[in-house]
Amino acid sequence: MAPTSHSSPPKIEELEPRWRLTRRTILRGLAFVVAAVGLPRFGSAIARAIAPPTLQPIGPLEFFTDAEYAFVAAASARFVPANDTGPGALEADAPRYIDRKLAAPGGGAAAWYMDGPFEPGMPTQGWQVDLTPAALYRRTIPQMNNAAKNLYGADFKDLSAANQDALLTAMQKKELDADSIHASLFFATLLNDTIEGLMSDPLYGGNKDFIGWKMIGFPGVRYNWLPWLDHEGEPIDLPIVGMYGTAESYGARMRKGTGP
Amino acid sequence: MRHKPPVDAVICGFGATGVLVAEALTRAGLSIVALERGPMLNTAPDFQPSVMQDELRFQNRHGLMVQPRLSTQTFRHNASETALPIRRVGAWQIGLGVGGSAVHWAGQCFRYSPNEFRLRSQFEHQYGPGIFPQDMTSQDWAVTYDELEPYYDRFEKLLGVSGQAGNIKGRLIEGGNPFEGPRSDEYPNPPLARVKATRMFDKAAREMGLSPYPCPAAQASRPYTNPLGVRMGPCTFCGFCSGYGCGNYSKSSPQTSVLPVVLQRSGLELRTLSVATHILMSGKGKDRRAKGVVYVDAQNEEWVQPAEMVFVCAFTMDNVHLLLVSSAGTAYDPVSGTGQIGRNYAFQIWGYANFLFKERFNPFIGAGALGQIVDNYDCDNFDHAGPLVTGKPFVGGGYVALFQYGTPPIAGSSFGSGETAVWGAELKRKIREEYHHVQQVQSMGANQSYRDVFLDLDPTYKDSFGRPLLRVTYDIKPNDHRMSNFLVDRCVEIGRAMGGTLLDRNSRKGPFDVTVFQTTHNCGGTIQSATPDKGAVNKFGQMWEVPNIFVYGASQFPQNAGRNPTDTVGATTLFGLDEVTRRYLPSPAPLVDA
Repeated sequence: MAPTSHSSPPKIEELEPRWRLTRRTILRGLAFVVAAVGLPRFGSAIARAIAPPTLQPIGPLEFFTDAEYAFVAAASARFVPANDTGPGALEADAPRYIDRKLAAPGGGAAAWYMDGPFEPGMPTQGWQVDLTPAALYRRTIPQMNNAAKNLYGADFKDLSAANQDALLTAMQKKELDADSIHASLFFATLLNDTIEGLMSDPLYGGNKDFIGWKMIGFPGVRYNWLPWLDHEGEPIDLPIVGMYGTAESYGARMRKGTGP
Repeated sequence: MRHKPPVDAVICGFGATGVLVAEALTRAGLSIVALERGPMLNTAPDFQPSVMQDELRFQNRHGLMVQPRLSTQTFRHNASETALPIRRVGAWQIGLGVGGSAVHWAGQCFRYSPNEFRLRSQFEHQYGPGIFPQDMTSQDWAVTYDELEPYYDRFEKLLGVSGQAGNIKGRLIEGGNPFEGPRSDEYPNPPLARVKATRMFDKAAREMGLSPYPCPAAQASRPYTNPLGVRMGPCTFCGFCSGYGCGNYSKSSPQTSVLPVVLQRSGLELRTLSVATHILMSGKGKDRRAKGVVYVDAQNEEWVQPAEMVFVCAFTMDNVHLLLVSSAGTAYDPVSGTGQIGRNYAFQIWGYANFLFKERFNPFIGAGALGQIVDNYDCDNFDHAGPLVTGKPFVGGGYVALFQYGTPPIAGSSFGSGETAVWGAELKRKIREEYHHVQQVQSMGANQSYRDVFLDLDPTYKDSFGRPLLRVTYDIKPNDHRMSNFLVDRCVEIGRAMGGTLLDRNSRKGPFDVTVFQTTHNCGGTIQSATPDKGAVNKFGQMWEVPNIFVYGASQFPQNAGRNPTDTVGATTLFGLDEVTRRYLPSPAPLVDA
């Protein structure tokens, strides 16, 4: 079941990088680049983009509409699918990680340089679109659902796995790119965000029950590997820990909210 | 603008070189102000494992780096293109805060080969001048290996480098690097322990007749107290190393080598969250001098800090930027080839080959300099016209190595990018089956300098202080692509000899991609030279055109060598500072006659 979303999400215009920086916001932001340092009386977009969130229960969606969430959930299930080898990115709550990331100030671009003029540039010159990641999601999901309807007769979330894969492939191969449609950029962003949500510390809202770290065989963050240095690479039989401890400690602190 | 009381010297940037300047000048009894645009950072509480072991925050979100919103560059491949801003952190990662990039560095602490300092004469002598393409502006350094040797030694002891000497005063030592320049002394600490993968590399390379040696590592292999009395603890190989600060006092940084002492000295005032926006200049021609520095503090207040001397100690890009926006020195003009500020910018040609093995590795265990190296293919250690080199010969070389840095899970789950990014069931298979079985053999290739590769001020884009952004005009040229191909061929040979199955290889060629992280080994732009027509500073780091400005860091390098820059950054800075305290302080004047 899709979680409950905001009744009226921000419009694209509100998510686009029209804000103009002042020296004051920049310098105040500096104090927060490392959260443990600085002057607590100021907030800043850069700082909040980089500092870790406080550990809080997964609750209602913070950015996505239900329809947007359904698209992202369906795509994440194709990017790292659940199959006979175990659960995938959707089961790890990667879409909830993305929701939180995009809800942050600046829509995921608070630390980026977003002054104009914007020119198309070359792929080797990097992101040159006048959109934050949040605005890119908000604009592109309906465009991709339209493409899904035109090509296969239904919204992306309702397509067969094979047709979903075909549409994702068309996005990746730039076949759906057009003047105002950044399908390949959106594909790359969504794939990157899905992997981040699968493999980052559960603190950030994804990697539920360490599904990602179990998948890859990462025993977690530990401070001393000296006893295993000369261990010939044999598997290390220790419980997985993140920055806040074991899965149980995250579960008790994060999963007793109202989430899905 | 309000004025602060005058001081003897102001330091712009309090990272790897700025702290060395502060140490030398406070020891000499001077009054100093150090300006650092980022926050104070210290081992406790900022680098504790419970803070640092967060791949998302420190790798993907660049939590210790200068964010483009604060400062960035524009980029184009050549002068016919329009440069566009680097909007997200990409090909390089510049550290922010006290300690600078020497907080998040990997700790690979190599000396350059003696011949690296006479690169042009050596290659011309060996292969004839024709080996240099017309547009290549690589040149000899002003300083020699022999001059630098005592300062390499001093810097390595400050940092507590762990390594195996290969050549002490001309005596070759088994297990070390036989191509090493003569050392006056051992490394202060024995080499780091090895892991399965580095042992496999060592064995395969040795059987191929190569000379593998352990990477000189700025991770302490045992408890260590440096000559300033600052103490380090042994590395525990937690794997959160390159890209992170060390919470264990094990990876050398200004915080674990110099800061605890220098911050106690009475002559120094450190002002953090203070951005040096430009150098105040006066006079013309031979009388051109710096009068101090204008900076903006965290309360948005603009100040003048008058000073007798200005030390420019920021990252490569920012050294060049500060001089250009201040009109300190003449900007380089690639058309006429005149002017010095911004010329001979170079990067690092990093290539690699990935291999799949039957063996399992636990790749999350590691340290930034936990590796085995061969120098057989660096500089002129091999015959550039010989049978190994197919096709046209090239200038330069590099090391070939295997490192186990500690691969965290997000990085271990990303394969390819753009149209080649892997996803779906195949991505899941690779995540599950390859993470523990993949190793990379890599080459750290030199990068030559070229007439049309340079840094200048962008005509369109500005930073938040209204200054033009620095514009980077850079691409990978055929010479460097040939070198990279040669080095990656060697990576493939060694990886196969280790028993690996080649997955993919990457030798660098144009067009340069500014979105993919490579290294933070940017260099040049204020290069050192024997005469004022060939560079911006003399071998002591003093500007030819403005004798009371001193510029330290890799911006002094006339081209990049086939290895990491930090040891040479430290040695050139200490070498310059000795001369400054010995000769400039008693009698301020040019230290080398023009």
